[in-house]
Amino acid sequence: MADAPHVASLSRWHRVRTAALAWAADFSAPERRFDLVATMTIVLLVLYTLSTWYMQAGVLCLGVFALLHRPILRSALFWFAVTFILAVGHYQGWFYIDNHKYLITYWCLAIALSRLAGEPDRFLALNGRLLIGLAFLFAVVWKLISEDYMSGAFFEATLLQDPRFHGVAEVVGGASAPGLQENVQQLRTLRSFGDPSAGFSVSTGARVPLLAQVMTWWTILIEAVVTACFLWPKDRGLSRWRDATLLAFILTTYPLAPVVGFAWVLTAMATTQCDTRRFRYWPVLYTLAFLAVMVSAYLPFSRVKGLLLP
Amino acid sequence: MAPRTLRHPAFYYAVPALLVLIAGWQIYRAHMQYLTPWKGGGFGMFSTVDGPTNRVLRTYLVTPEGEALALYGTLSVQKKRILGMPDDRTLEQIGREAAAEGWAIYPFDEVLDEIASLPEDLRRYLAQTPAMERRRQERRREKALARADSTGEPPDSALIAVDTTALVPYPTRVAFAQPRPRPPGTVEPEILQVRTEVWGMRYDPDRRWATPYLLNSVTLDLD
Repeated sequence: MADAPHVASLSRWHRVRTAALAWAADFSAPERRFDLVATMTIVLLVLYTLSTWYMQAGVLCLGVFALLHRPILRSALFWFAVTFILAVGHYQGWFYIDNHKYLITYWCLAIALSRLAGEPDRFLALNGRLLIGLAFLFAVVWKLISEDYMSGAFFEATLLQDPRFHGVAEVVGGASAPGLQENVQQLRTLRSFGDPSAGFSVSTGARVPLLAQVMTWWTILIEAVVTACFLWPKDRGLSRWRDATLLAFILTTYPLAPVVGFAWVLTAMATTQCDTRRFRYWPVLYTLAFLAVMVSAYLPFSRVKGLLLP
Repeated sequence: MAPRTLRHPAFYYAVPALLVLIAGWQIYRAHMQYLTPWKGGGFGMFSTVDGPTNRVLRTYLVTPEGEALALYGTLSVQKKRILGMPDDRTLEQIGREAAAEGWAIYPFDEVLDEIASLPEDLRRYLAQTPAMERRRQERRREKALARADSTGEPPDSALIAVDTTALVPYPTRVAFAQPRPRPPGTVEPEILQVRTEVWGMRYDPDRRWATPYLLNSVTLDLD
């Protein structure tokens, strides 16, 4: 009788675990996959693509309408309309928009075309896998041909001059806050009316060069691995590791560089192609990553440095 | 049943092919037309220091009295476009727009003295320059020294310090676009050439030194 509370507690835990796994299995069911991915994409569009008035008017109206009336998410016409607005809006600013806006446009076009395909789910899974693999392939190619990336100069300069990275430069790299501020001020001087032919000394930290080297090689390594896994023939060799490596990339990259739009389009595309025969809960993990990236955007490294530094 | 064409394998690869096409085109433009690797759909972000935020635009008006830096706030060409891909055609377009403007040329110090009378956008722009910050520091320093003289107490060292990062060379003459018709009593300067430059940035980790370099430059003769 002395064991009764312990047994009751175990039994309660077992019931909670069983219910959670049943929910996760239901959430990850193949027949619900398209609705999950379409909803992720709509949330992304509503929150992160609005740069011109017609994109605001068009994408926001269509997106909110789709959230209120879900069946429209299965209409090819709806996705073609979204793609058209995105393509026109992004074409106007092709020289300054971020690369993930291109990816979002391709992705919406792929969703639209999938509704016309003989096998919509296969079409979308193939396109999701190839779009991720190719985007990473070009990212790796650019890094390999960039002299200042391969020398480590890019990440060192970024840590010291880009305020988004100042938190990690201070906490891990040992740079001083006034020194980093001075670097930003020097750049601002140059951008305003300073003499462009004059260089300037950059304030650094004791461990910044090492940190820059680690970031340089980790980034190119993980991106090359993701490329290989996603472009490898499906269900063979490296292809089996694609979901784990992409999640590793997302969770190690976006807390430092919170580009939510990019992370979200990657998770939406990855959710369509994940292999649930080997591990059925990938859609749940991608959805958690989708949420984690959003949280990390509001809690970037620079904000938690106060907790880590004396 | 989907139409026959939509079951063709080529249809399944159309969107990835579009990505490859645009990314290939971006690599070509980045190497031939000064497009920054960060932009243009080639996924070159976080691969180089040569991003738009590290590029600097300068437009100079060449007059018989010398050069003047044009404050291009009123020009219609988008700055993002210029910094993203400063090819010859874009820089020529800026030159032509600059040539079509009416200009008034002032010594830089005079502009800072008259900042209150400038248009709102330029006032805000100049107010955040290190040159203005240096002026504010100098005024604070003069006041602190005057107070120390009158009270006989030593001045507060924090108040008399002048930030050396603001001691960069500045252009001696600047040009502002003027409304047409020109205000009475003002004279149109004679502009011989318009030179537009875009500068990039290099970082040397060994020397810990950032060095700007001239990325592209176009001079438009107005003869």
